[in-house]
Amino acid sequence: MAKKVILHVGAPKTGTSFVQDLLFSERLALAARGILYPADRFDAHFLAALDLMQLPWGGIEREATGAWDRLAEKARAWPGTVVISHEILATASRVQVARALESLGGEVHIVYSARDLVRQLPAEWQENVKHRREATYASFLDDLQDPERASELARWFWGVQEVPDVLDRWGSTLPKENIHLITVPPPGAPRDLLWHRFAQVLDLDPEEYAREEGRTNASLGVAEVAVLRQLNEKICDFVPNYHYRALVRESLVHQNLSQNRGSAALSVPPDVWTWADQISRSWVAELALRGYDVVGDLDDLLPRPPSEFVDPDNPPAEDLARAGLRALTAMTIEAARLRDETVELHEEIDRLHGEIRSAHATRFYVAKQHLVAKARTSPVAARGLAAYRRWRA
Amino acid sequence: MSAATGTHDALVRAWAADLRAGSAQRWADFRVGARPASPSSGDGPVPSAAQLELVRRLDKDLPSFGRLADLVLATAGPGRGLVDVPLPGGPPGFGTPPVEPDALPADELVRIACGVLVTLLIRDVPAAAAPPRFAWRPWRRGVTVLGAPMTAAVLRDELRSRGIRDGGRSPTCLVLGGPLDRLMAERWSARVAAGGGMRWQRLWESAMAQDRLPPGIQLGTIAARLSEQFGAANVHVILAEDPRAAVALAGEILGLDLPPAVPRPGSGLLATDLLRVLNPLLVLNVGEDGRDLLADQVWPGLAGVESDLALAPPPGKVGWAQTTAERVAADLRAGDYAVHGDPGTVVPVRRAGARSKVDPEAVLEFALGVLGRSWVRDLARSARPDTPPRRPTERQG
Repeated sequence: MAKKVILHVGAPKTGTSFVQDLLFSERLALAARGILYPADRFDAHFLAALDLMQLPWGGIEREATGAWDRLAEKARAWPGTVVISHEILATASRVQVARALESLGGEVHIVYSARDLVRQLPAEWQENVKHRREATYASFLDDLQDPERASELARWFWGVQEVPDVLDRWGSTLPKENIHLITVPPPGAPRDLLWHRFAQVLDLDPEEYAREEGRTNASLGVAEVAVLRQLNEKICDFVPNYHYRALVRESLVHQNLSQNRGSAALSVPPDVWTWADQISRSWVAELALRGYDVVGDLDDLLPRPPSEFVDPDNPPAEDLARAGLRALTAMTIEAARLRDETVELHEEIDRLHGEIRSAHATRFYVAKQHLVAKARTSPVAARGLAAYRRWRA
Repeated sequence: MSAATGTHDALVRAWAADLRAGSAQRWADFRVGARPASPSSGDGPVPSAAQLELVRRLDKDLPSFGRLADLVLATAGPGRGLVDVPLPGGPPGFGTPPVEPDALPADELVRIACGVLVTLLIRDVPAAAAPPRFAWRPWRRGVTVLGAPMTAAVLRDELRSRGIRDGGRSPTCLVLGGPLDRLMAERWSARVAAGGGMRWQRLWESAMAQDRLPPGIQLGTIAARLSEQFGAANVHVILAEDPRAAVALAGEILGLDLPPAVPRPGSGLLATDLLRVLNPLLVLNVGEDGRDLLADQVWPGLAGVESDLALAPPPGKVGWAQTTAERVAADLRAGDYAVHGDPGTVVPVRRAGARSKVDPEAVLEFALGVLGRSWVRDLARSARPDTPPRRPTERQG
């Protein structure tokens, strides 16, 4: 049985991809030190999370059958420390948490990384848009402010982002010292500070695993995300998810629009800032009473003073046009590349057809063809063909 | 845990015990009449309002009801929904706001019910059955049946049982049609039966956005293609208001005395809407093959045949449905094949009692019935001494 299981359960948009990428790429070195990251890809625990939470995910759940049990089995079999990380685990219900903890055995530590709400709101909307959603920013914010959380969107957001609730669901049966709340530093903090905080919880020397750049989720500006949302409105009825993933999310967003962001950063309108500030203060006051191991500073969870708000539902026309042109350019270049690929494939098909034709042009092959055709009408030829086939067999 | 939280949790557990014992009292009434409970941590997580309300609504006459209640209370809601809904009356806190259980949205209760249903269904996935054997009569001409998918499936089964093969070199081709909204409903049922997860509204949105009917019910296109392939003289488009009339017409064309068409069990609208939610959960647990086996062999018996409910086009789609249906009717009139029935039949008319979406409350009632039958099936399975669960691992939470 593993001596210690470190279960990193979220939240989304708090550097989780960076941590998972680092744990994955260093997994052999970590294993040599007794720390297991049981994964065959950086986000391998996603499927386990889908299985644990019985969460359909656009067809990907087909690959998740039994994934949690397999992961838990690996964790139980490891004699040292095991690290499991996926941000969607944050929304697990108490029954699912109980099952997870029971299946893992050992001394379980819950790690939850949190970032201030004013940065999480636009980040989550942007993530929604990158996943084919068409909701405007205004309607997204309205949904989240609905006290009844009636929309699916609100249920999901608060399920993964409401810090005191997530930690209560995951930690209510564990000792307080086993609950580690990592706060994401405010803007302007040293780039490696967040990694230092994670490393502290994982009991690693941060310098030993330091790196300049890690996997991060692409971030878009106001105009770019506005273009993408409007594009979703136009194409989502026609473009299946597998094409969307490759063409839009990967090619357009990750490889183009998120490089050299050309417009203002997403933020929140003043009234939403005030609302989010109140919620954040109530969270910080509650968390201060809980006695968790806070890595960082609870004040990191309080929003910074509001910045200028540019409405992504009505971005400046010039910015929108520029972002639209960038998108058109990127997609035209991608279309040309795909056409090149098509032409090459046709050339390959022609070459193979040629080889087949050459093989069929021999006298022997022509004679065989003649015999097969004759055998359809002539009993003598049919008997000859049958004899030939018996001889060949 | 604070004393107030402990007292509230103890009261919730007391209500859970009351429901488990067969009570149907609402939380609002129970809470008023109950004596203050002493704080208790109890066993496992405190059940959520949705789990408790589902137990309250279940049929108390089901055998071993207490065990079924335990299963519901120990089963997490799958998919996306409200996380751990607390009951009103507790101290203020964080998380999902408290909701009176009987005011929870029906789809939330359906979600919980689906979690329990999946737990029960995957305990006994049937083995693949050998295809039924029929007395083949190769001298009889084959028949190709296309169009309205569910009616076509019923007709194909009937023909196969008479030794008439599906297709062949020069088949008689029947294209079954009817009012566009019924064709869409059959298309929806067929897709869900095959594992799809699309909502009724979404089917229409997608079709309207593409200005094209889904494949399989594009009557004119299908008939034209068959006509080109097999000759117009061999193609018959059958247009009828309902499946019974369509099958009766098919019998006349083929010179057969066919029995009245009976809808396939498990293909009604409520069953379709429930299976839509279950499909991805079944795939997640037993893979696509397991889902197919459950859907083909177990689901019809659990879901049964529904009364003939009708679905109308969703709001905002009626105009497109009319225009499209008129286009289809024009195509059929212009075709060189035989059309049996009035092409105008395709144009949907407002039908009494037809709803533009599936009523979530009706789906919940239906789900409760299916859950009860699944529970009885599971009890029968566990009573068989020689049949261990087919699935190596199962979960209850």
